[in-house]
Order: sequence, then C-alpha cells, then structure tokens
Amino acid sequence: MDAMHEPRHPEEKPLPRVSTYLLVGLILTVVTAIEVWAFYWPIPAWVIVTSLIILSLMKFWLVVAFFMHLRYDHKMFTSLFTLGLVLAIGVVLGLITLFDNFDIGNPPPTEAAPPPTEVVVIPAPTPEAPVGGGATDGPGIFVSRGCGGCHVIEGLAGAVGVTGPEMTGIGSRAGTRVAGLSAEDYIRQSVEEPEAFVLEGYDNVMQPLRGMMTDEEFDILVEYLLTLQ
Amino acid sequence: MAVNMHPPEHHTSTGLNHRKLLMWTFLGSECLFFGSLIATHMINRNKADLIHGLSPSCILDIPITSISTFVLLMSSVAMVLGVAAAERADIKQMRIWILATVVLGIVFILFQVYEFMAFVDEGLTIGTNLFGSTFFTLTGFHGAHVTIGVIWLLSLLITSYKRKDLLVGNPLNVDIAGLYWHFVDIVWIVIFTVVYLVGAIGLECTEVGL
Repeated sequence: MDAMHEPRHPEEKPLPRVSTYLLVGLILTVVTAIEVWAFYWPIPAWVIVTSLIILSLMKFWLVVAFFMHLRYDHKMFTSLFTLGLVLAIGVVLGLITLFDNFDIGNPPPTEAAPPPTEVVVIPAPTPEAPVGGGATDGPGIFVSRGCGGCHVIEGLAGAVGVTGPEMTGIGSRAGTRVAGLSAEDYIRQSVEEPEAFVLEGYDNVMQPLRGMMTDEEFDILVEYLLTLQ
Repeated sequence: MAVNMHPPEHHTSTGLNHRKLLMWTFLGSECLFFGSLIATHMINRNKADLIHGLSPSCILDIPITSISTFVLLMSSVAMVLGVAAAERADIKQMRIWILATVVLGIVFILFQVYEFMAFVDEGLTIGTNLFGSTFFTLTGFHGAHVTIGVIWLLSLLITSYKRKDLLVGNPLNVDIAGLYWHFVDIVWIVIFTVVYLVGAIGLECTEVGL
C-alpha cells in the first residue's frame, strides 16, 4: 500500500490505525458530554471554568495529535503550528491584560433588582452619539450612556424610554424629593445609588450607569440635568 | 505501474511536502486570526448589556449548541476515516466518509443558521451591542470556514469520480483537506467552551438592564 504513494519521511512514524481514530473519537465525545454536564452542575463557577478549560485543551490536543496526526509527523509541522499557536496565545493574553475588565459570566446583578414587568426595547444609539465615547456635552452623555433608554427629556432625540421617571424639568424638582438633599446632591445620588430613593410608582430597576462615564462626564451630566427647568 | 500512474511529489530540500508545510503554516496563522476574535469577544461580551439586556446567559442556547458541537465532532471522525481510507487507496470508503463529513458539516451550518435567526428574533443582531458584534463576527467567520471546508470536500468528491488518479495514489490531497477540516473543528472546541459554556455559566438569565 505504501508503495502506491510517496513514502513517509524517515523521521516520521507510521500513521495510527483506524481503531485509534475511533477510540479518540469516543474520548472526545465523552469529554464533550462531561463538559456539558459540568455546565449544569451546581458547583462554584471558577471550578467549572477551570475544569472546562483543562478539558477543552485536552480535546484540542487529541485532535491535533491524532486526527491531524501531528504526533506521527515530522517535527517541522509541529514547529510551524506551535509558532502560530504561541503567538496567538500571546495575543489573547495580551488583549485580556490590556483590557483587564475581562470577566467570567454575567456582570454582577444590581442589589435586589426585581425583574422589570415589561421588556422595553431600547433603540440603538444614534450614529452621532456612539456608546462609550464621543459625546462631551450633557445631552450627548445622557443619550450615549443609556439614560435616554429609560428617561424622557422633552425635545431631546434619543431620550425616549418610559421605564423611569421623566427628566424634563428635573432641575426644578430635584431639590424637593428628599429632605436634606440639594438638587445637585439628589441627582448625584440618583445616578450613583439609584436604590437609595425610588420615586413612587416606579420599580427599583435603575442600572448602575455611573460606571459608563468618567468623573468629568458625570459632572457635565449633573450640571446639564440641573439646567432643565 | 503505480509509479506511472502516480508521479511522486517534487523533491524538496526538507524532504517534506511543501503543500503540507504551507497548510500547517496557514493553520498557525489562523490561530492568530481566531485567537484575536475570541479574545475580543471575551473582553467585550458583557459590556453594554446593562443597557440592552441581551446578554450571553439570556441568549445562548446550550442544549442546541451541544448537539451541533457533537455533529461537528462526528464530522471530524468521519473526516479522519476518509483520510485513512485515502491512505490505503480505498476509494469507495473514502467517498463514503467524505460524503458523511460533508453532510455533517452542512447540518452544523444549518444549526448555526437556525441559531442566528433565533438570536435576531430575540433582538440580538450584529449591531445591537458589543456582545452581538463580537459574537456574530467570531461565529460567523467560523461558519464561513466550515462552508469553505464543505466546498473543498465536495470538490474532492467530484474529483474522485472525474479524476480518480489524482487521489488514488496521492492521499495528500485528502490529507491536507482533512487538516483544514480538523482545524475548523478545534476552533469550535475552543469557541464552544469559551464562548458558550464559560460565557453563560452558573448564572440565571438576569434580564434587568432596563
């Protein structure tokens, strides 16, 4: 049979048998089943995540070593692939380190936030005010950081949501909401600790959007809201 | 006779086939390609969810994806059996296993089409938020790779009827396609773990965000 085609390089081992391939296929199936099973297992997330990563590395190696028969081929092939793989791992780790807010799973849910009674689809930000950047004026920050998804400001495009109270003229009302809090302090508190005071008739579902803006932007936003009379 | 029918590959200074070296180099570079997409997804998947409420744990369908993962895994097994058949010049077996690989590959793509449509139905598109953008870019590129693999294998299947001589004494043509196919499978191994399982783990779908 080997005589029918190019013989393997003298440094290469003969290819595995079909039975080896089938065994590897079986192991891969079992490992995948274990992974899915682990996913539903009520143990700490980090334990599962660690196990999942180890298991998938194992699967990765099994396919490369046996199905792609790198284990039996010349070392040169392994070197070429490893070079790319090592660079790739470097890129992945580098990116994650640079943007080190990498997290596993969901963002932490807000404290005791009840699910909203109805799901409101929030319009995508307008091209003039992309999320997370660009806007440096009060209205721009209000819309681009998501406030507008839940609060109406008359005359401001993008401030259309009705889940939260209307913000039109909030500057004239803010000082009257909580005894002892000035208009500015009240607005600041409402964004930083939305659960501290929830207006009657509304649910405590406001998101911690403070993290979406810098201190400077937050100041601009507060200043803007105070001007709404 | 064998020699006449099957001219050997060109002599190379390394003694190794250059097409195979090229394929491994290409696959090494593909690691960088998918590595970057996966990292970008991991970094961004939970951003902007606060605003949009369309987050990994709400959207990802683990049971369905487990099935499609299994399908792709089985396609890899079929592929390796096809390569083994090509190695022993068993053209009939080779055709059967390549066809099986193609069918399983198509089934995988159909699963992905279904998944994409379901997501869009729920309101998650490539433009909805960073999770959507990075998710569709990553899995879309993977799906494109599977599609190219299917076309490649179909062309081998047609070749096996039209120009049998290109394959019978030359298993490398099948082997290299197999390397590509298996690579696409290992990329999915990583995506399934990192994007699906780790992305949606341990947390109830908390669709607050509004």
